[in-house]
Amino acid sequence: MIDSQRRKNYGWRARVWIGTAWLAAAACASPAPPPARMLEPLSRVPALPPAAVDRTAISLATAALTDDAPRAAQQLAQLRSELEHEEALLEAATKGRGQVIASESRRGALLALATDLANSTLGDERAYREASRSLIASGEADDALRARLEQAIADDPLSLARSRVVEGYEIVWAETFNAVSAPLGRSLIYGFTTAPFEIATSATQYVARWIERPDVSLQQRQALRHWDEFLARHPDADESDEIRRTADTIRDELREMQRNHFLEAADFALANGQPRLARIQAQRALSYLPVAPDKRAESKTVIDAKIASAELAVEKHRALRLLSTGAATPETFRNTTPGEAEILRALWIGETGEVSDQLRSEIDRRSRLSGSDLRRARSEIDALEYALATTQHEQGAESASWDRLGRIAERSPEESSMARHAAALLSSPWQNPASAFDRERVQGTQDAVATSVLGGYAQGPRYRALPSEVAYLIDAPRIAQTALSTPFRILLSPLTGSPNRDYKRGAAIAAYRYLERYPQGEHLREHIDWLLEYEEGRSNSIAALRLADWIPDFDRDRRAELAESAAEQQLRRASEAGRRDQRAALLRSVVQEFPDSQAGHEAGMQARLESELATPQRIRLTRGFLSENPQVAGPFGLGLEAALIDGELNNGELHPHGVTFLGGRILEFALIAESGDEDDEPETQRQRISAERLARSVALVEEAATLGVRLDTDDTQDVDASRDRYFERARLGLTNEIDSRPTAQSTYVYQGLRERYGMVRSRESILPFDLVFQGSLSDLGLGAFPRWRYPDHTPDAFLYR
Amino acid sequence: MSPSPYIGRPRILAAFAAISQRRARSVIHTGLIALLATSCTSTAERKQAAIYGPTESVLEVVSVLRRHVNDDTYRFPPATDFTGRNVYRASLLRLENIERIHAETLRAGHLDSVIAFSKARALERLRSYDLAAQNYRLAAERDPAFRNEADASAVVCEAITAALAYGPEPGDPLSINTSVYAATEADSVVAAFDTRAAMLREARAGAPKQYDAILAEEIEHADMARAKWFVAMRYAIPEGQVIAVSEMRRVASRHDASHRRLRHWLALADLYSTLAREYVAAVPPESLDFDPPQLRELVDSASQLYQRVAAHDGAPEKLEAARKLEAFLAFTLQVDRDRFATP
Repeated sequence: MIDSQRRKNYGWRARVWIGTAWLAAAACASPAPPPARMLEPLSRVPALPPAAVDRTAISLATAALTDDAPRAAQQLAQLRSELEHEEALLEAATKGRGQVIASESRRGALLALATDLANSTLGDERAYREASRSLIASGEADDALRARLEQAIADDPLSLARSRVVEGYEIVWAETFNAVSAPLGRSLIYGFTTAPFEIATSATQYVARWIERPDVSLQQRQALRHWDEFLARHPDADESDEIRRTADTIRDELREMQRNHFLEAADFALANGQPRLARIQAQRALSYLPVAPDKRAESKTVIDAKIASAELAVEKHRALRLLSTGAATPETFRNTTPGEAEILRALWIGETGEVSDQLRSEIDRRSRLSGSDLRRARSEIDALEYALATTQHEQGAESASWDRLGRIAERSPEESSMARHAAALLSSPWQNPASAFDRERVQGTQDAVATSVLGGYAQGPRYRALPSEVAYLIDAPRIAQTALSTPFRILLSPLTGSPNRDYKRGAAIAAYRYLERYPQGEHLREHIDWLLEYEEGRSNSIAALRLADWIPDFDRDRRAELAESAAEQQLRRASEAGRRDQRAALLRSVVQEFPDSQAGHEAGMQARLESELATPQRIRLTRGFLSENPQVAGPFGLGLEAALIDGELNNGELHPHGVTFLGGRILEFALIAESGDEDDEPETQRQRISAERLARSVALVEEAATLGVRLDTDDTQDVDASRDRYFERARLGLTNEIDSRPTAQSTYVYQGLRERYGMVRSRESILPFDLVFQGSLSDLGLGAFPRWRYPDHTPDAFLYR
Repeated sequence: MSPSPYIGRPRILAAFAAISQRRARSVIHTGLIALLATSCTSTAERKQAAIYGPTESVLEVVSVLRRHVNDDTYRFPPATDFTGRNVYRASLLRLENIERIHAETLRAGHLDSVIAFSKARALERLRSYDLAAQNYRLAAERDPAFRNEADASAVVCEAITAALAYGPEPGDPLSINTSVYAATEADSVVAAFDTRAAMLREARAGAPKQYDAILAEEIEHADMARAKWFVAMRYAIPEGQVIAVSEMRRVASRHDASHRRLRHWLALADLYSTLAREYVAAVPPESLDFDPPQLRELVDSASQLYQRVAAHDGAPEKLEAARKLEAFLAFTLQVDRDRFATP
């Protein structure tokens, strides 16, 4: 009894110990809950009266704003002496105590800013740039001011023009250097035995490129624009006359180049049987006549002659077309027999079958003619044949109809006036899509084979401005090398990962056109089968499913598979949609169209989740951004609770996702999950903040971002109008009315530089050239050589092409 | 001691060379240390070093703004700051940021007048003349040093605000409250815009220098608004199409010195293009009423204008005009070949 009581007691104690130990273990295993509050109370700086230097700086600003330059200079001098005095006092107070004068740099910044403000009253841009150079040289400007001043100095039309001109020369030098270094480097591996051949090839290509170079380069055009701006702003400057002369010369060359370009385009169009286009191009050349009157008249004569020849060609083309219609004469109608009149009447109002019989008997009757009678009646017989082909097509005898038209089209226009009509029908991709499909398939196969064998040269030689014979001659060695290396390229092509061109696209368009044009056509099944294979081949399950539904006896299991993959495809599209309303519409369509599929189920879940989590804004500040800009997270900004960013997991920690503005005055804090792993999805908490805190935070975010742009070229800030609008309203305290339109949502993310670029950012080499190790699959070439880097195009280069 | 490389040379030269060598070495060392120090300074640290107090921040914004106060924004496009934003708008936003960030410090009021005057200078370039006038009045009230300049500017801004009340403005076309034009107003519209232009010209007399550009822009704006009215009403008033074209031509010819001149030419070309399309839609080329010379006239005018704009290097309008010309020529190629043989 006692033993059993003891055993009971031991059992109870053991259970208590085990329970306590488990609780302790559990307590140690799980991280502490996040802090009770995410934000600290808003900090405020006491309002102090302005110091003497502040008052002087304000007087300087007042003088500058009211255009009082002498007073501005006086205030600047006073500010300088006040700062020096203050500095001397501080130095004396801290002398011998080893204290650091913390405010020294701030005073330097104030003086530099004040100097810049005084400089801004100079009025003349060139004087301002000169003064800015002096300010930078004085070393008083801090990084931010220096960056701004450097930008102002660089924004000089003359300096910009000079840079563009130098870039133009650099490109010429780079081309020349590379034309020598590349062939030498390529022949290095063969012990320079191939050097003569490589150099000769390179020299030829260099000359070809030189010939193809535009008379006025892009850089010269950019320089011209800068010179024009300078002349507009400073028409009476000392250097204006010289610049004007240079600009006029380049402008004349540019006009001539553009004029010649359009005249050449006109010639090309004329040579390719497009006289109407030729006339358009020639007329465009008129916009680039020379300015000088004598040259103007001369050029106009040349262009007018070109327009005249284009117009003549248009007229000739029209006349030929009219001739081919074989317009009826009154004589033709007088000779119409009663039988012919009957057929003509039947063609309009008769039954198709009866008309066919009538046409056949009339064709038989006339075909019995012989010799010259038959030749004279050929056009009439073909007209009847043409009409019969039309009735055959209406009766569903598609192939027979096209065969008949084909026979008519084989005749010469002189022999039969119907030959061109039949040929036009046969070659029309809309009238005869089946034939277009066959043609496109053949063409696609030819293109694929040509590209496999000749690589990029399948499209023609590189130098299009040269006569084609010369261009092919220059490229001949490379074309031969490319052709010989075809087996290797085919073997290695899966490894290169380059996108494959769709050679079947033309045939697919023709096939779809056939389905649209002839839904009951003879070749329907053939086209559907081909298209099904084509769409499956390019993983377009949605289109494949649509095609499968055209096939009555399509395998049920295969259709189910297609439906599943089509739903997945649609779901992927939905995930890629940027706007939430578009995403929702796509998700809804997946659910509605594929309700029984797994993807349909997932789409429904995703749609539900999105509707639950949808917020007007999602502007995020990552933890990296906050750590690089502590003033944003600090007590005068967001006022983030210190425990969240102290690196200690046991008191709650901010996740790398950071803090998100959700619209209105709601913030979302992403916290590291219970697992303590940063890679896990964060746990989120939302909090409404005061209008004051929000205004201050967005102001600090904007200031930090713009300062970053100025200090570091990699610290870019993308344009986002919705973000700016939300910030603007937040700054003004206008967030009570929430703009819930999907287009008003911004998903902008402010990231830290380390998050964007890692610990070490890649830097451009200080060498002006790259060391290239080249291996070419197209010609199996190997080489190592220095390649001179071309200067980068300016961002506005596309406005000069 | 290592032997001197200058044995055999005059002693003074050797000494000089030794000094030069030491100096060169010390310069290299200093340079390397400076380079190391610079490369070790992260952007975050440089950012911290460049965070200004309220006075410095305001001085910075005022410097940028002051430099562009006298800019001729009629002849040249407004300047942009380092972020690529319109400098007046960027300055205004930065001033608002400063007001929020340093709200407590600014409560002392010592920067009120400078901020108000600066905001006014920015606002008038953004066409918010009423707000600009309010800020000028505030600056004049807070600081006597601003009084003359601020009062003179406020008078001009108020005069512009008063002038803008004359003549209908198109406004936001997507707003449900868009004002509805009436066809009967044609004469009164012309009179209203004439009044506006007269008031603007009057405001120029005695105004500070920078208002020349602002008032020229406003007169241009008035001409544009007047032309837009006639374009919008061209089906409602007699000979509306002809008047609309002549109004657009008037804008393009009167403001050939404006930086918006390419935009005016484009607008005129667009009108010709629209008329050509409307003509083809109303009178199909295959119909019996089609008049080829009529279409030719419109097509020639539109293509020449598009071509003229497309020839301007470096302007965004160049791309717009070039693509529109291509699209327009494609449209003309669709017109039945026998009825209309290309422009």
